[in-house]
Amino acid sequence: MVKDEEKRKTTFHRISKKWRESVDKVKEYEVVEGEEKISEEFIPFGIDYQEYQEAEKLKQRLLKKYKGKTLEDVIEGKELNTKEGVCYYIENQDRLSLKIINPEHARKKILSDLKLIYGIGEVTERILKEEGCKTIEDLTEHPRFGSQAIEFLKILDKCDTCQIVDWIAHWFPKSHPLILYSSSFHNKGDLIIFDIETMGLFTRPIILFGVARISGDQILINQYLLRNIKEEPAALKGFLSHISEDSVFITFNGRTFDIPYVRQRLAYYRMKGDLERPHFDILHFSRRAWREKVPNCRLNTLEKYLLGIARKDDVPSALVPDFYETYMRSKNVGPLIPIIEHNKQDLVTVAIIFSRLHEEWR
Amino acid sequence: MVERIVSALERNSRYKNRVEHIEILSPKEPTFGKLKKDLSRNIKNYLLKKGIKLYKHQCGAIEYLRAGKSIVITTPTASGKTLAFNVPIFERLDQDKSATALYLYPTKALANDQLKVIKEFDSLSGIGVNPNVYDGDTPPNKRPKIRETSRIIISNPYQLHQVLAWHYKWQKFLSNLKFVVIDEAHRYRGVFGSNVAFLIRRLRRICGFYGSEPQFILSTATLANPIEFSERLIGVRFKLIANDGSPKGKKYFIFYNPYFDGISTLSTHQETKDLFLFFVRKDLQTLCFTLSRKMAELIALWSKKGVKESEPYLMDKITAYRAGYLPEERREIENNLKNGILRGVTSTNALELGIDVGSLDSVVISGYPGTIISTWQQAGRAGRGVSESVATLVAFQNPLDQYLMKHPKLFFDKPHEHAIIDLSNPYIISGHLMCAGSETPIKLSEEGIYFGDDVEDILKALEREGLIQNTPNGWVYSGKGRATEAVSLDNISSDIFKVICDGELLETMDRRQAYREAHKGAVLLHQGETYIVEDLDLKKSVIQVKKIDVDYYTEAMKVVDIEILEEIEKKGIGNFAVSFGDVEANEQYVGYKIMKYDKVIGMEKLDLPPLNFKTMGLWFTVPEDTKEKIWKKRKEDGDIKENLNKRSEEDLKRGVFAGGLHGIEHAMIGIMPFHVMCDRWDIGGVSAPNHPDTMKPTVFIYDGFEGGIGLTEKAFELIVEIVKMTLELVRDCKCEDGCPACIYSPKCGNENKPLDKKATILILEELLNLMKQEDKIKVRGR
Ligand SMILES: [Zn+2]
Ligand SMILES: [Zn+2]
Repeated sequence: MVKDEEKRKTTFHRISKKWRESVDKVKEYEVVEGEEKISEEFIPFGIDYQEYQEAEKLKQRLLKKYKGKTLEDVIEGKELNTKEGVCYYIENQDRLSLKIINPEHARKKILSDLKLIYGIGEVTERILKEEGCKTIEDLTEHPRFGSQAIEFLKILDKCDTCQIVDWIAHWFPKSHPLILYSSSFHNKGDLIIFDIETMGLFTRPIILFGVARISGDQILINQYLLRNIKEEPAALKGFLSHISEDSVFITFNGRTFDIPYVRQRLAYYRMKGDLERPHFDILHFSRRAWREKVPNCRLNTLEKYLLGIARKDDVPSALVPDFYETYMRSKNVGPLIPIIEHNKQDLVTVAIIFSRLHEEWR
Repeated sequence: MVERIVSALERNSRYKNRVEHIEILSPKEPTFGKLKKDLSRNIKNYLLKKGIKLYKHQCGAIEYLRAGKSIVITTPTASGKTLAFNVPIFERLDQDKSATALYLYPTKALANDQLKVIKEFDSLSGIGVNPNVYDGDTPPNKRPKIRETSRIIISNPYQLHQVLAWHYKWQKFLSNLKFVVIDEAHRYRGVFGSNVAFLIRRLRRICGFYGSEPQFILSTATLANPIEFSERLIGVRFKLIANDGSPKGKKYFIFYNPYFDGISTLSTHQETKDLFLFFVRKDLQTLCFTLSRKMAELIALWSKKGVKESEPYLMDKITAYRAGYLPEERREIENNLKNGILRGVTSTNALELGIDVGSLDSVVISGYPGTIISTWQQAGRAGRGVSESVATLVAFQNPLDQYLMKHPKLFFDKPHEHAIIDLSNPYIISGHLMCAGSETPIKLSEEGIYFGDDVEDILKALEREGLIQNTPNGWVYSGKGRATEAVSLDNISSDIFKVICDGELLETMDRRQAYREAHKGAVLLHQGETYIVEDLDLKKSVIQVKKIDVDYYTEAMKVVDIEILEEIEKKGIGNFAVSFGDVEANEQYVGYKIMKYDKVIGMEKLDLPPLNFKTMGLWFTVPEDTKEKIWKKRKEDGDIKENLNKRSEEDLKRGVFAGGLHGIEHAMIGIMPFHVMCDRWDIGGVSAPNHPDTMKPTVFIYDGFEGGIGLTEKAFELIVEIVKMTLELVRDCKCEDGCPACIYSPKCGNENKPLDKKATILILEELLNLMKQEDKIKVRGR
């Protein structure tokens, strides 16, 4: 009997080893279930051999350097207590001034585009402007376009971003500057810049949540780290704690990646969390603004070409799961360091690019 | 009319001797049914517009579903199965405006076919369920709307496998899920079926999560064990709907044997072509099933040639149909079959599944398809309402086909196969536990009902490999790759090759087919046209072909061998020893024959790398002196004596011994499903009178799944029982020289040659003697 029991367990173990082999071999695909088509810019596919080797060297160096050290020794932070358990909380801040065009200017820009009104195309707009109707406000008395104009003005006056964006997106592509302008109607303090690091493309744990807020000329960076998989619900809670009624999301590709990912993990743990907020995904705007000038629109590329930032000792996105797994297996905190740094830098870059876009389309 | 044609066939000197048997399946009057409670006006309208009166079995299905039961329907093709469940589903969806239903079909083509039927039901009844297909081809931007607004969604198991982790997006659909329809359920048997069984448990688990508990409707071909099968596949109680109330016309089932006298002047392929044309010329719309893609093409091609001079008007009325054709091409053929423009179509089993091409007058089955289920499914394509029809099974020369020809009773009286589902295979359970763990944390208190008693130990083993982790919220999947990518439901290759002609996509095929049918120099047949393969790019998975008219075709030749990679365990029972471990089956295409009709007119060499297939297997050797021992006994037998003056003694001895080993391999595979709960098609075998790795006569049995799936591992445990039962089976079989019930295999790669029943028994007895020689079991593990 005892022998049978033993044997059964040996078999299970052998099977598990086989699974590990095949799980490690799985490649991430371009299209995942759902309507989200992960864009090329995002796929961390294109990791070349040299990049991989450098990252591997970095990992080995870190493992050596941080052997035996605790997380608290290496990364300043504290244990955060939530209803869903604990996780590791890291706070940082830095100077950063966000140059967002002022709301009046944004309003003017939006109102001067008559094509936002049903029935007005390029030609009609030109005629109307020649007749003296320079803005949508001038149209309120117009026999044909009046009612539409009034309706739009109502929405604009309410500063209901979701509705404004919906209205604009009905006539223009999602990457249109007019949509970006709508972000000006919010207080800087309501902007939630966020970015997650994960074990893969969906259906696996999120290992780090990064949230950046703007306060005056400072960027406040909050990170919620899983020291082990158990801490994911707590980290989710930590992330959710930043979201209020007035929050607005600023992300890079968050529309197709970060938001659905967080939603999936919330549903996974049967946790509640409302993520229906205005959302400005700067990937689309960046593509429109700089596609011609940069080799591709990955965040790191934009950062390099537009901001001249060259990351040192960075972990390529594609290898974040690998680094985290090494940490889990070895309990050595070394490989966590570049993940946390990478996430922090991503947040800062998203904030700066958001600001740049406003300047670009002033 | 069919009667006249059949008797013409019987009288025709060309055919008459070859007709071994005609089974007449008698016609049947319809039995209509009555419902306890009337159908709603909307549904009545639909039935009225379609001129439908419900049969008894349909009413039975409606009553059970109204009463909240799950049902399995086993009535034959064209008996109105689909309507039997569509009516009660629409009824419920009409009463409850938020209720939803999920239909699962094994292929995309079937799903699209079904969509038409449901759309029509929806629009004629005006109920408003907005049916849609949701599969890999559904454009991403259409998906959210389908999930939100469609109340009947048609999909396939592969898609469901990927979708479950996204349950939050399906919340509305899943929380209102009232019915799950699984059509062609008999396809989900063996290892594939066991995988689907756990996929369904994952679905039920997520439904539970959202508070729904759908009823299940299974529709299947006739099986020996429909209720047991359904209950294992789904995990809930089932009611059976089996008594067909639809009317049937008279059907003639002909067993046609080109080898009736042991030899044949024409090959089975040629005979098939002649029969096919015979029926087409008699103006019977005929569907001809072949065992390979190539034969489907060749028979169409030869038939067209056959009518070119004499009846040119038939040229355009004959075509081939098979997997690999582009969807548009397939649809066109399906439509032209339905509206009668096509009079003769040759097809692989691609048309065996329920694709709606209407019913035909005649079916020709070229070679026994391997299972009774498939044979009846194919024969079921003939029979239009109450009119007469004919099905003809044409035999090959192999012993299995020949046995059937000589024993038609065996076929017509034998119960259909058992469909087996294994719910205790740890390979399968652990894979689905990883998937379940990525859908929502696994809580031990809740999961026993879905995944069995070993859950905790398996989870712990997975945790040791870092694939899953125990957290206060339950066990959470934490592997580096997506679980649903690592766990595949079946063996279907996703390694697809494109065939390009003049820069345009001609068709697609998988790697194995590419090696076999599209190597450099091969003649590729597509809709009766010949193409020469100019290049097979193994890295890019692209095949370049050129359209050239040639009157020959090619046939690749392969050698198969098996290699022991690592012996994991070996045990001795007395002086008999059996091993279990990792093995690699290699298939190498070494050359190809150039053929004209059935004659070889040339040979060419091929330089292709072998196709390797790593799996797990068991093997045992037979003492060398056995060959002499059994020969001593065997040479006294009449059949051997008779041959002694024709062939050399050494040659005969070799044949007897190899035939015995081969017989053991087949018979063992044949009985394994009883011991390890799989389908015989899930297992492979090789026997070698002198295997290079053991240097001895050896029999190998291996899992037919990449990496192994625990089948032979379990057989290894039960080897004593298996050897004993194999001997009993072969020894007690009433046949003379072997039959499908003992040593003939429907999937033999060597056409069931050589086989020697007496030698099989003698060697098995020898093995059992070895086992008894010492009553101790010695185990050597690692
Ligand atoms: Zn037999
Ligand atoms: Zn064989």
